[in-house]
Amino acid sequence: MKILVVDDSSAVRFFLRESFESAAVNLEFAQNGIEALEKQSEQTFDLVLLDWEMPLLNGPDTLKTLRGLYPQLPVIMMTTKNATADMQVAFNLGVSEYMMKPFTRDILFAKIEQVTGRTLG
Amino acid sequence: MDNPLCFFAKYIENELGIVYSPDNYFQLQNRLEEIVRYFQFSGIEELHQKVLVGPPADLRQLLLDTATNNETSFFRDGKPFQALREVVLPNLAKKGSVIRIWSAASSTGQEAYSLAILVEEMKPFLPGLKVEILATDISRRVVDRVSRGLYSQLEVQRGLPTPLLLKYFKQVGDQWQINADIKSYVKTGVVNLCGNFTNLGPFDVIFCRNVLIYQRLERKAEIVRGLARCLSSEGYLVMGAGESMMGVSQDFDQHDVGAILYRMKGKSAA
Repeated sequence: MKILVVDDSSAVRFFLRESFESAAVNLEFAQNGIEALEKQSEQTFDLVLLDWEMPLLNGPDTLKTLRGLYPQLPVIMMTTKNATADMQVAFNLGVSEYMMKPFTRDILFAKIEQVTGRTLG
Repeated sequence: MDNPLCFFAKYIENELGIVYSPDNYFQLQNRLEEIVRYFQFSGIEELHQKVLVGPPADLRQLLLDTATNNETSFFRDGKPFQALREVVLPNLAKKGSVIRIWSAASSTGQEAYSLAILVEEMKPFLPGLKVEILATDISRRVVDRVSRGLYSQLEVQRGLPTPLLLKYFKQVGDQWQINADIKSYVKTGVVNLCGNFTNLGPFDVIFCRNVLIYQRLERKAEIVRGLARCLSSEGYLVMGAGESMMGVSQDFDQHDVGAILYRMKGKSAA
Protein backbone atom coordinates (compact mmCIF):
# COMPACT_ATOMS: atom_id res chain seq x y z
CA MET A 1 0.00 0.00 0.00
CA LYS A 2 1.29 3.45 -0.89
CA ILE A 3 0.45 6.18 1.63
CA LEU A 4 1.04 9.92 1.41
CA VAL A 5 1.53 11.53 4.83
CA VAL A 6 0.87 15.27 4.85
CA ASP A 7 1.94 16.90 8.12
CA ASP A 8 4.28 19.75 9.02
CA SER A 9 5.17 18.22 12.40
CA SER A 10 8.40 16.24 12.38
CA ALA A 11 7.24 14.43 15.55
CA VAL A 12 4.11 13.14 13.79
CA ARG A 13 6.10 12.13 10.71
CA PHE A 14 8.54 10.26 12.99
CA PHE A 15 5.69 8.51 14.83
CA LEU A 16 4.11 7.43 11.54
CA ARG A 17 7.41 6.23 10.09
CA GLU A 18 7.95 4.11 13.21
CA SER A 19 4.37 2.85 13.21
CA PHE A 20 4.57 1.57 9.66
CA GLU A 21 8.08 0.15 9.98
CA SER A 22 7.06 -3.51 9.97
CA ALA A 23 4.02 -3.09 7.70
CA ALA A 24 4.02 -3.57 3.92
CA VAL A 25 3.62 0.13 3.26
CA ASN A 26 5.47 2.65 1.08
CA LEU A 27 5.42 6.05 2.72
CA GLU A 28 5.84 9.44 1.07
CA PHE A 29 5.89 12.65 3.08
CA ALA A 30 4.72 16.17 2.36
CA GLN A 31 4.90 19.08 4.82
CA ASN A 32 1.97 21.10 3.48
CA GLY A 33 -0.94 20.93 1.06
CA ILE A 34 0.99 22.38 -1.90
CA GLU A 35 3.65 19.67 -1.63
CA ALA A 36 0.92 17.07 -1.21
CA LEU A 37 -0.89 18.11 -4.39
CA GLU A 38 2.41 18.08 -6.31
CA LYS A 39 3.21 14.55 -5.10
CA GLN A 40 -0.30 13.35 -5.85
CA SER A 41 -0.04 14.69 -9.42
CA GLU A 42 3.19 12.75 -9.94
CA GLN A 43 2.30 9.44 -8.27
CA THR A 44 -0.71 7.33 -7.40
CA PHE A 45 -1.43 6.79 -3.72
CA ASP A 46 -3.83 4.35 -2.07
CA LEU A 47 -4.42 6.66 0.88
CA VAL A 48 -3.65 10.15 2.16
CA LEU A 49 -3.17 10.93 5.86
CA LEU A 50 -3.83 14.64 6.11
CA ASP A 51 -3.11 17.11 8.92
CA TRP A 52 -5.50 20.06 9.39
CA GLU A 53 -3.30 23.00 10.35
CA MET A 54 -0.34 23.46 8.00
CA PRO A 55 1.44 26.41 6.38
CA LEU A 56 0.81 27.45 2.75
CA LEU A 57 -2.23 25.24 2.20
CA ASN A 58 -4.10 23.75 5.14
CA GLY A 59 -5.85 20.37 5.40
CA PRO A 60 -9.43 21.40 4.52
CA ASP A 61 -8.31 23.39 1.45
CA THR A 62 -6.07 20.51 0.36
CA LEU A 63 -8.99 18.13 0.83
CA LYS A 64 -11.27 20.31 -1.32
CA THR A 65 -8.78 20.18 -4.20
CA LEU A 66 -8.09 16.46 -3.76
CA ARG A 67 -11.82 15.69 -3.80
CA GLY A 68 -12.28 17.70 -7.01
CA LEU A 69 -9.46 15.87 -8.78
CA TYR A 70 -9.57 12.43 -7.16
CA PRO A 71 -13.09 11.77 -5.84
CA GLN A 72 -12.36 8.13 -4.93
CA LEU A 73 -9.05 8.66 -3.12
CA PRO A 74 -9.36 7.64 0.57
CA VAL A 75 -8.32 10.53 2.84
CA ILE A 76 -8.05 10.34 6.63
CA MET A 77 -7.86 13.65 8.49
CA MET A 78 -5.56 13.50 11.54
CA THR A 79 -5.77 16.52 13.78
CA THR A 80 -5.84 17.93 17.29
CA LYS A 81 -9.17 19.55 16.38
CA ASN A 82 -11.56 17.31 18.27
CA ALA A 83 -14.80 19.31 18.26
CA THR A 84 -17.82 17.77 16.57
CA ALA A 85 -18.20 20.94 14.46
CA ASP A 86 -14.70 20.43 13.01
CA MET A 87 -15.44 16.79 12.26
CA GLN A 88 -18.64 17.78 10.54
CA VAL A 89 -16.73 20.28 8.37
CA ALA A 90 -14.29 17.55 7.34
CA PHE A 91 -17.07 15.10 6.47
CA ASN A 92 -18.92 17.78 4.52
CA LEU A 93 -15.74 18.23 2.48
CA GLY A 94 -15.69 14.49 1.79
CA VAL A 95 -13.09 13.08 4.18
CA SER A 96 -13.20 9.29 4.49
CA GLU A 97 -12.34 9.10 8.21
CA TYR A 98 -11.17 11.30 11.04
CA MET A 99 -8.50 10.65 13.68
CA MET A 100 -8.09 12.84 16.72
CA LYS A 101 -4.51 13.34 17.88
CA PRO A 102 -3.05 11.79 19.87
CA PHE A 103 -3.86 8.36 18.47
CA THR A 104 -2.17 5.00 18.79
CA ARG A 105 -0.81 2.59 16.20
CA ASP A 106 -3.77 0.21 16.63
CA ILE A 107 -6.23 3.05 16.00
CA LEU A 108 -4.24 4.16 12.96
CA PHE A 109 -4.19 0.66 11.48
CA ALA A 110 -7.88 0.04 12.22
CA LYS A 111 -8.93 3.30 10.54
CA ILE A 112 -6.79 2.52 7.49
CA GLU A 113 -8.32 -0.95 7.24
CA GLN A 114 -11.77 0.56 7.61
CA VAL A 115 -11.38 3.00 4.70
CA THR A 116 -9.24 0.88 2.35
CA GLY A 117 -10.64 -2.58 3.20
CA ARG A 118 -7.02 -3.80 3.31
CA THR A 119 -5.30 -5.39 6.30
CA LEU A 120 -1.93 -4.01 7.32
CA GLY A 121 -1.00 -6.81 9.76
CA MET B 1 2.85 -21.12 54.23
CA ASP B 2 2.32 -21.08 50.44
CA ASN B 3 4.23 -18.64 48.32
CA PRO B 4 1.81 -15.64 48.20
CA LEU B 5 1.81 -15.63 44.40
CA CYS B 6 0.78 -19.32 44.30
CA PHE B 7 -1.88 -18.57 46.89
CA PHE B 8 -3.33 -15.65 44.87
CA ALA B 9 -3.16 -17.59 41.60
CA LYS B 10 -5.22 -20.34 43.26
CA TYR B 11 -7.58 -17.82 44.89
CA ILE B 12 -8.32 -16.13 41.55
CA GLU B 13 -8.76 -19.46 39.80
CA ASN B 14 -11.25 -20.62 42.46
CA GLU B 15 -13.22 -17.37 42.31
CA LEU B 16 -13.10 -16.59 38.59
CA GLY B 17 -11.73 -19.65 36.85
CA ILE B 18 -8.95 -17.47 35.40
CA VAL B 19 -5.74 -19.44 35.29
CA TYR B 20 -2.38 -17.77 35.96
CA SER B 21 0.43 -20.09 34.96
CA PRO B 22 3.78 -19.61 36.77
CA ASP B 23 5.04 -17.97 33.53
CA ASN B 24 2.54 -15.16 34.12
CA TYR B 25 3.19 -14.69 37.84
CA PHE B 26 5.09 -11.47 37.09
CA GLN B 27 1.84 -10.05 35.67
CA LEU B 28 -0.06 -11.21 38.74
CA GLN B 29 2.61 -9.67 40.97
CA ASN B 30 2.30 -6.30 39.18
CA ARG B 31 -1.45 -6.32 39.72
CA LEU B 32 -1.17 -7.31 43.38
CA GLU B 33 1.36 -4.52 43.92
CA GLU B 34 -1.20 -2.03 42.59
CA ILE B 35 -3.65 -3.25 45.25
CA VAL B 36 -0.94 -3.03 47.92
CA ARG B 37 -0.34 0.61 46.97
CA TYR B 38 -4.07 1.35 46.88
CA PHE B 39 -4.66 0.03 50.43
CA GLN B 40 -1.26 1.27 51.61
CA PHE B 41 -0.26 -2.18 52.85
CA SER B 42 3.40 -2.84 53.65
CA GLY B 43 3.66 -5.44 50.87
CA ILE B 44 2.12 -8.50 49.22
CA GLU B 45 2.70 -10.44 52.45
CA GLU B 46 0.28 -8.15 54.34
CA LEU B 47 -2.25 -8.45 51.51
CA HIS B 48 -1.86 -12.22 51.79
CA GLN B 49 -2.58 -12.12 55.55
CA LYS B 50 -5.72 -10.00 55.02
CA VAL B 51 -7.10 -12.38 52.42
CA LEU B 52 -6.29 -15.45 54.54
CA VAL B 53 -8.46 -14.18 57.40
CA GLY B 54 -11.28 -13.29 54.99
CA PRO B 55 -10.94 -10.13 52.90
CA PRO B 56 -13.39 -7.23 53.35
CA ALA B 57 -15.81 -6.82 50.42
CA ASP B 58 -13.96 -3.87 48.84
CA LEU B 59 -10.63 -5.72 48.89
CA ARG B 60 -12.19 -8.89 47.47
CA GLN B 61 -13.86 -6.91 44.66
CA LEU B 62 -10.61 -5.12 43.82
CA LEU B 63 -8.76 -8.44 43.69
CA LEU B 64 -11.32 -9.79 41.25
CA ASP B 65 -11.32 -6.53 39.24
CA THR B 66 -7.58 -6.49 38.78
CA ALA B 67 -7.46 -10.14 37.78
CA THR B 68 -9.67 -9.61 34.75
CA ASN B 69 -8.48 -8.41 31.36
CA ASN B 70 -10.71 -5.55 30.31
CA GLU B 71 -9.41 -5.16 26.80
CA THR B 72 -12.25 -4.24 24.45
CA SER B 73 -13.21 -1.92 21.63
CA PHE B 74 -16.27 -0.89 19.67
CA PHE B 75 -17.29 -3.43 16.99
CA ARG B 76 -14.34 -5.60 18.05
CA ASP B 77 -13.53 -8.22 15.38
CA GLY B 78 -16.28 -6.84 13.09
CA LYS B 79 -17.44 -10.22 11.70
CA PRO B 80 -19.93 -11.17 14.45
CA PHE B 81 -21.60 -7.77 14.07
CA GLN B 82 -21.85 -8.30 10.33
CA ALA B 83 -23.39 -11.74 10.98
CA LEU B 84 -25.88 -10.14 13.33
CA ARG B 85 -26.85 -7.57 10.72
CA GLU B 86 -27.11 -9.99 7.82
CA VAL B 87 -28.38 -13.22 9.41
CA VAL B 88 -29.27 -13.13 13.08
CA LEU B 89 -31.43 -10.02 13.50
CA PRO B 90 -33.43 -10.53 10.27
CA ASN B 91 -34.12 -14.11 11.37
CA LEU B 92 -35.03 -13.30 14.96
CA ALA B 93 -37.12 -10.28 13.94
CA LYS B 94 -39.57 -12.66 12.23
CA LYS B 95 -40.82 -13.85 15.62
CA GLY B 96 -42.12 -10.34 16.33
CA SER B 97 -41.42 -10.34 20.07
CA VAL B 98 -38.65 -8.59 22.00
CA ILE B 99 -35.17 -9.89 21.13
CA ARG B 100 -32.99 -10.30 24.24
CA ILE B 101 -29.23 -10.01 23.79
CA TRP B 102 -26.65 -10.67 26.51
CA SER B 103 -23.14 -9.27 26.48
CA ALA B 104 -21.87 -11.72 29.08
CA ALA B 105 -18.35 -10.34 29.58
CA SER B 106 -19.09 -6.75 28.74
CA SER B 107 -16.01 -5.10 30.20
CA THR B 108 -16.53 -1.33 29.90
CA GLY B 109 -19.53 -1.67 27.59
CA GLN B 110 -18.20 -1.12 24.09
CA GLU B 111 -19.62 -4.48 22.95
CA ALA B 112 -23.08 -3.79 24.39
CA TYR B 113 -23.22 -0.28 22.93
CA SER B 114 -21.96 -1.53 19.56
CA LEU B 115 -24.88 -3.98 19.60
CA ALA B 116 -27.29 -1.17 20.50
CA ILE B 117 -25.95 1.07 17.71
CA LEU B 118 -26.22 -1.82 15.25
CA VAL B 119 -29.85 -2.40 16.28
CA GLU B 120 -30.63 1.31 15.91
CA GLU B 121 -29.07 1.32 12.44
CA MET B 122 -31.11 -1.77 11.50
CA LYS B 123 -34.45 -0.36 12.57
CA PRO B 124 -35.37 1.24 9.22
CA PHE B 125 -34.87 -2.16 7.56
CA LEU B 126 -36.64 -4.23 10.22
CA PRO B 127 -39.70 -2.22 11.25
CA GLY B 128 -41.01 -3.11 14.69
CA LEU B 129 -37.64 -4.46 15.83
CA LYS B 130 -37.56 -4.49 19.63
CA VAL B 131 -34.34 -5.33 21.46
CA GLU B 132 -33.17 -5.43 25.07
CA ILE B 133 -29.50 -5.78 25.89
CA LEU B 134 -28.04 -6.96 29.18
CA ALA B 135 -24.37 -6.11 29.82
CA THR B 136 -22.70 -7.98 32.68
CA ASP B 137 -19.19 -8.46 33.96
CA ILE B 138 -17.55 -9.83 37.07
CA SER B 139 -16.00 -6.45 37.81
CA ARG B 140 -18.17 -3.86 39.57
CA ARG B 141 -15.75 -1.14 38.44
CA VAL B 142 -16.24 -1.83 34.73
CA VAL B 143 -20.00 -2.38 35.07
CA ASP B 144 -20.25 1.08 36.63
CA ARG B 145 -18.50 2.42 33.55
CA VAL B 146 -21.07 0.73 31.30
CA SER B 147 -23.82 2.45 33.28
CA ARG B 148 -22.13 5.83 32.81
CA GLY B 149 -21.61 5.34 29.06
CA LEU B 150 -18.79 7.87 29.06
CA TYR B 151 -15.68 7.18 26.99
CA SER B 152 -12.31 8.80 26.40
CA GLN B 153 -11.13 10.13 23.06
CA LEU B 154 -8.88 7.09 22.61
CA GLU B 155 -11.68 4.66 23.48
CA VAL B 156 -14.15 6.10 20.97
CA GLN B 157 -11.50 5.94 18.26
CA ARG B 158 -11.05 2.19 18.76
CA GLY B 159 -13.34 0.51 16.24
CA LEU B 160 -16.05 3.17 16.08
CA PRO B 161 -16.40 4.84 12.67
CA THR B 162 -16.45 8.63 13.17
CA PRO B 163 -19.87 9.09 11.50
CA LEU B 164 -21.35 6.81 14.19
CA LEU B 165 -19.50 8.76 16.88
CA LEU B 166 -21.06 11.98 15.60
CA LYS B 167 -24.48 10.38 15.38
CA TYR B 168 -24.69 8.61 18.74
CA PHE B 169 -22.36 10.45 21.15
CA LYS B 170 -22.23 13.90 22.64
CA GLN B 171 -18.93 15.56 23.44
CA VAL B 172 -18.52 16.39 27.15
CA GLY B 173 -15.19 18.15 27.63
CA ASP B 174 -12.58 15.73 26.35
CA GLN B 175 -14.91 12.73 26.78
CA TRP B 176 -17.82 11.33 24.82
CA GLN B 177 -21.22 10.44 26.26
CA ILE B 178 -23.39 7.82 24.57
CA ASN B 179 -26.81 9.28 23.83
CA ALA B 180 -29.87 8.42 25.89
CA ASP B 181 -31.67 6.47 23.14
CA ILE B 182 -28.76 4.06 22.72
CA LYS B 183 -28.20 3.85 26.46
CA SER B 184 -31.83 2.92 27.03
CA TYR B 185 -31.29 -0.42 25.26
CA VAL B 186 -28.70 -1.50 27.81
CA LYS B 187 -29.25 -2.77 31.35
CA THR B 188 -26.26 -3.73 33.49
CA GLY B 189 -25.35 -6.16 36.25
CA VAL B 190 -22.43 -7.83 38.02
CA VAL B 191 -22.39 -11.52 37.11
CA ASN B 192 -19.70 -14.14 37.71
CA LEU B 193 -19.81 -16.70 34.90
CA CYS B 194 -18.26 -19.20 37.31
CA GLY B 195 -21.37 -18.93 39.49
CA ASN B 196 -25.03 -19.67 38.85
CA PHE B 197 -26.49 -17.29 36.29
CA THR B 198 -29.15 -19.37 34.56
CA ASN B 199 -31.97 -17.26 36.07
CA LEU B 200 -30.93 -14.42 33.70
CA GLY B 201 -32.20 -16.19 30.58
CA PRO B 202 -33.62 -16.92 28.15
CA PHE B 203 -31.65 -14.90 25.61
CA ASP B 204 -31.93 -14.94 21.84
CA VAL B 205 -28.29 -13.95 21.39
CA ILE B 206 -25.39 -14.36 23.80
CA PHE B 207 -22.02 -12.73 23.17
CA CYS B 208 -19.50 -14.45 25.42
CA ARG B 209 -16.17 -13.63 23.86
CA ASN B 210 -12.66 -14.14 25.18
CA VAL B 211 -13.81 -15.63 28.46
CA LEU B 212 -13.16 -19.33 27.90
CA ILE B 213 -9.57 -18.81 26.75
CA TYR B 214 -8.57 -18.00 30.34
CA GLN B 215 -10.30 -21.06 31.85
CA ARG B 216 -9.38 -24.69 32.45
CA LEU B 217 -11.25 -27.26 30.34
CA GLU B 218 -13.66 -28.42 33.09
CA ARG B 219 -14.58 -24.82 33.87
CA LYS B 220 -15.08 -24.05 30.15
CA ALA B 221 -17.53 -26.95 29.92
CA GLU B 222 -19.36 -25.78 33.03
CA ILE B 223 -19.71 -22.20 31.72
CA VAL B 224 -20.92 -23.40 28.32
CA ARG B 225 -23.53 -25.65 30.00
CA GLY B 226 -24.77 -22.57 31.86
CA LEU B 227 -24.85 -20.50 28.67
CA ALA B 228 -26.80 -23.28 26.91
CA ARG B 229 -29.41 -23.18 29.68
CA CYS B 230 -29.72 -19.39 29.16
CA LEU B 231 -30.11 -19.63 25.39
CA SER B 232 -33.59 -19.72 23.85
CA SER B 233 -34.30 -22.68 21.59
CA GLU B 234 -33.88 -20.45 18.51
CA GLY B 235 -30.92 -18.58 20.00
CA TYR B 236 -27.37 -17.88 18.86
CA LEU B 237 -24.15 -18.00 20.87
CA VAL B 238 -21.13 -15.97 19.75
CA MET B 239 -17.69 -16.72 21.15
CA GLY B 240 -14.29 -15.13 20.59
CA ALA B 241 -12.45 -15.63 17.30
CA GLY B 242 -9.86 -17.81 19.04
CA GLU B 243 -12.35 -19.95 20.95
CA SER B 244 -14.16 -23.13 19.96
CA MET B 245 -16.44 -25.82 21.36
CA MET B 246 -13.91 -28.53 20.63
CA GLY B 247 -13.67 -30.76 23.70
CA VAL B 248 -15.97 -28.38 25.58
CA SER B 249 -19.51 -29.23 24.48
CA GLN B 250 -21.34 -31.42 22.00
CA ASP B 251 -24.67 -29.68 22.44
CA PHE B 252 -24.05 -27.07 19.73
CA ASP B 253 -23.75 -26.98 15.97
CA GLN B 254 -21.33 -24.53 14.44
CA HIS B 255 -22.54 -22.28 11.59
CA ASP B 256 -20.05 -20.30 9.54
CA VAL B 257 -21.82 -17.22 8.20
CA GLY B 258 -18.70 -15.07 7.93
CA ALA B 259 -18.41 -15.35 11.72
CA ILE B 260 -18.87 -18.59 13.65
CA LEU B 261 -22.27 -18.78 15.33
CA TYR B 262 -23.29 -21.60 17.67
CA ARG B 263 -26.85 -22.91 17.88
CA MET B 264 -28.30 -25.82 19.77
CA LYS B 265 -28.06 -29.01 17.67
CA GLY B 266 -30.49 -29.39 14.81
CA LYS B 267 -31.01 -25.71 13.94
CA SER B 268 -30.03 -24.07 10.66
CA ALA B 269 -28.11 -20.76 10.64
CA ALA B 270 -31.19 -18.75 9.65
